Amino acid sequence: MNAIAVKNSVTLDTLYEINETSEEQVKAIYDRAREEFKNLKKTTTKERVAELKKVRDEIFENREIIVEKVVQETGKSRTDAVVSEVMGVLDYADWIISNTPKILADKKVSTPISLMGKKSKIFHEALGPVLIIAPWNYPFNIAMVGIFTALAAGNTVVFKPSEVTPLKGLIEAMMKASPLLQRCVTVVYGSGSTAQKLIDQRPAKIFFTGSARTGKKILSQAANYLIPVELELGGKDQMVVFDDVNIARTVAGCLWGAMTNAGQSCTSVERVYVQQGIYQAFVSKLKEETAKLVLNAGDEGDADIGGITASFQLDIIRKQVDEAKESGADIIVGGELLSDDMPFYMPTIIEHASTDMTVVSDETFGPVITISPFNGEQEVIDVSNNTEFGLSASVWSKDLKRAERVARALEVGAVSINNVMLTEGNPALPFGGTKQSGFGRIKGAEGLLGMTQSKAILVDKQSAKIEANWYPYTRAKYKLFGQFIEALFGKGLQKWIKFAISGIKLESESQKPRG
Amino acid sequence: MADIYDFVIIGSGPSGAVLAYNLSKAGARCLMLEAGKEFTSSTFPANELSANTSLMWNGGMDTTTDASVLFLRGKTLGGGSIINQCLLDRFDDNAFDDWRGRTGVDFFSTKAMSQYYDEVESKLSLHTMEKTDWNRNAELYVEGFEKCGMDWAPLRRGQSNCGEGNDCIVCLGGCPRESKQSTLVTYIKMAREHGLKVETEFNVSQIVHGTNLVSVFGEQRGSTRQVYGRRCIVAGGALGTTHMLLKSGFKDKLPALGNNFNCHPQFMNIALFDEIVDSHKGAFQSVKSQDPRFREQGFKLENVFAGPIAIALLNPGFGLDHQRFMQKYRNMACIEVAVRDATAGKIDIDRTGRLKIKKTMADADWQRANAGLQVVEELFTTLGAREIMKSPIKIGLHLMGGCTLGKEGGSSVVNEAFQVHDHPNLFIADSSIFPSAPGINPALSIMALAQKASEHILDECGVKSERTKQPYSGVEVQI
Ligand SMILES: Cc1cc2nc3c(=O)[nH]c(=O)nc-3n(C[C@H](O)[C@H](O)[C@H](O)COP(=O)(O)OP(=O)(O)OC[C@H]3O[C@@H](n4cnc5c(N)ncnc54)[C@H](O)[C@@H]3O)c2cc1C
Repeated sequence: MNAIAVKNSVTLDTLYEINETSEEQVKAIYDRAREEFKNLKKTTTKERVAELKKVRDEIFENREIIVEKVVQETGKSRTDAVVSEVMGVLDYADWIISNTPKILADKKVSTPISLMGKKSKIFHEALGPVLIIAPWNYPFNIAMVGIFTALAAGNTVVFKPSEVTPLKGLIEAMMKASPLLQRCVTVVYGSGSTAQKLIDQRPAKIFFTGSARTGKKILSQAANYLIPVELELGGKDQMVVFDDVNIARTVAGCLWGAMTNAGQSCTSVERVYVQQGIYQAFVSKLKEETAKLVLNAGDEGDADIGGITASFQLDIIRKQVDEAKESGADIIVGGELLSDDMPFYMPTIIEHASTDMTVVSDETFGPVITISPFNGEQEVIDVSNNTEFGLSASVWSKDLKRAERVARALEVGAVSINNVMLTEGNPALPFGGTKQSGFGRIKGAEGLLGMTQSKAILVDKQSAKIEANWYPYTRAKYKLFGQFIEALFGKGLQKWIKFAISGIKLESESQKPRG
Repeated sequence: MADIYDFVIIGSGPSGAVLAYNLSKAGARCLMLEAGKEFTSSTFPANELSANTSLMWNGGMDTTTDASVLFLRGKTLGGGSIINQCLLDRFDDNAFDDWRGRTGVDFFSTKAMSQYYDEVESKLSLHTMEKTDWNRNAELYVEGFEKCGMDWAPLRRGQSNCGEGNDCIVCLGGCPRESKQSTLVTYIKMAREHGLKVETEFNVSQIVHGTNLVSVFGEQRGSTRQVYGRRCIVAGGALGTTHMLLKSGFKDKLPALGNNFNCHPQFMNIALFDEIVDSHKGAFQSVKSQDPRFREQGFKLENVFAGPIAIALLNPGFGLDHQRFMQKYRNMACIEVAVRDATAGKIDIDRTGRLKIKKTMADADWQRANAGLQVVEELFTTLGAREIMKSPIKIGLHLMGGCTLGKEGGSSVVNEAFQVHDHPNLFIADSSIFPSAPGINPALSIMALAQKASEHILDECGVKSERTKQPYSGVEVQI
């Protein structure tokens, strides 16, 4: 079996090794997950969130350990780690703990008058063992958001972390706080080949976060088994800045949105469009502020931009920027590695990049932005929508009507107005994309419901009464149905009287046997 | 744009310069950052006032929070070595035994350090002052000592060729003859020959320590600047280094940061003679006290003088009185009491990040000072002085401590390998590492310790300067 070395992404020292998981192991994992599902299904949402609370507290108590481990494997700056991987997870955990009972409660729905006397409702049921496949950019956050949601909904979980950042043993250690839930989550280590084996065992649903390329592979493999899939893929997020903004604050937001997690967020700002009137001022302020950003990792919370976690990602970033440079774009800041033996890419701003350059057409996933001026509202909508991706965007303007108009027109799954990457800061909002950025929503009520299937329930009373639409069909009944439809759906006065009369007649006619 | 070095060395005084030379010579890519400007022998400021403002931090007006001690520290390429008197003494057993006793660190001994003293002395031109060098102030000093039966000795100074008939007091504002052995004409010059890069007017405000990278953040001529080093050596002197670490938030992990600050408080004593003394003429310091009784009592007497502005400061009066006092400048002789601090002070910062220095004289310190002052009075009286004026102001020139070297993180900042505890990429070997006041001129020992630190750092880090551009690895993106 191939051993995969997990490295400290900054020193490149091997931290430990993981192995691919074999087919037999995968089978056993699913057998167990299905077995545990039977038990978990019997629990109420209240019981489950009480168990989740224990895991949440364990995360809270161990937050420094989590930060330490995340920093080691990802190379992110310490503040990035604490804010997104600890604060983000706790925030979401609290939301799901307090909202699950409400969202998953059986839902009464109205019953039409034609079905008088009956009651209708919806049960939100668990799916079974779900497969969650997570990427390396937010290895703890994406893992825990998925796991918490799945468990809250009553599913058991097979979780495969990225082989780049498996955080070996960490999730298991947190789950220990709840013996019930611990049995319901299995972390499976390995690369894409392990993921394929996991799909072959037919999980009830697949939740994948990662690249569009891999997303397509998963979807086609899942298609063979008709496994539903939700895909959270890449983005090429635009930031649209109108000329009535406070430049200093907008520049600060731009830099954070572009550089947080060293740009390794699917919702990082990658394309910046600034209205002509303030373009020059914006660019010069941006340059000035970029010079103040501090690169480092293994810091004490005082570095801004950490390392690029995966070496193959670093190659993509370098290649895109180098190609842009060769094709005539202007790299006005950065554009290179800090040093060839370290994974730090300098924060980079590119002017005069065009859509035929990969730095504009493809996801960069690094601390790199392209910036260009625009004149009018419609122009920036058209230009910025001209991409395969559609994850999130931000619109900046004092004129909130205009901002909302533009927000509606952007082909994306989320828009922050006068802020950046903030929709994902509210656990109550759904998260997900359009176009090549994927489909399905995680987080929010929609995300939780996405981890369930709705079961429709209609309740009637026990009696001797035969329903009008049941057999036998007779000429008389046919005529009465005609009157009934006329009364129910037609126009005219006395509609309700006609409806009542035809209804009563139909009902009594229905009790007669054929012949 | 991507400024990354094997070593970023902050500070260009005796410590920074020795380290820069040794590391550059070993083949490391080194960058030296200095907050002050670079001058040459021909561009040093022409007078005392402009020397203070262009060569010193805060125009030479750093003080304690209660303004009872005035600290002078260099801010120019060469640091304190540009504005000091370059008296180069080794520490004695008494000083090292005290350090060893406090820290348990074995290399604090004259024996263990002698190799490093030898190495730095071999790079400097040293001159032991002779009788022919004496000015009248020195003659009076020796006369007094002999009459009172006290031991004195000639001073040893770092100078190569002072020539004839110059008034050395100007070289406190930068030696115009390239004679005084400042780091500018010695170690920095040699280091540059080995490729050292120097950036001046670069004021470092923050150091960010990472796994294998140190980010150094600051300001240079009005713009934000940042440089990166695989390792960083902080050599900003006791106040400078401690200040940088405090501002960078290191106190959290280094509780002893800022402790053990000492400064050899000096009390200038002026005696007015009927004769013209002209203390400012000629070699302005030639002899020193060597009396074992003084060492035991914790003070030293300096044969010294100062420029007219400093002297004017000593007499706090105004108007005519003051003018009359200053008219007698040429009749002044001077002996200074330098106290070996018994009570350490504390360096801190206020909310705006400004230095806050607490240094009070406790009873034990006053005992030492008063013992010295008494001897000075005895000397001047014996010499027939008309009037003796004791300075109300204490001056601190030998600023030491704040980042004490020791074995244990709770009570020290730097370990025996000159590495900051818990911060393996950060090294300090300047005056801030002193565990206590030695009571002896510190510069040569700072250099010897920096020499020793160079050895440790090269052992620990090796040197890595190969920079080849890596091709794209071409690995496919996987799940
Ligand atoms: C008037 C005077 C006379 C003296 N005479 C003698 C003597 O005769 N013999 C003797 O042994 N000692 C003497 N000293 C003391 C001696 O000069 C100092 O102890 C010595 O220079 C300290 O060396 P250092 O390397 O620790 O620091 P320094 O020499 O102080 O060098 C530190 C350097 O770092 C720079 N720096 C500090 N902070 C920053 C920052 N944030 N960013 C960038 N750069 C920074 C400073 O500008 C300075 O150039 C004298 C001192 C003075 C003031």
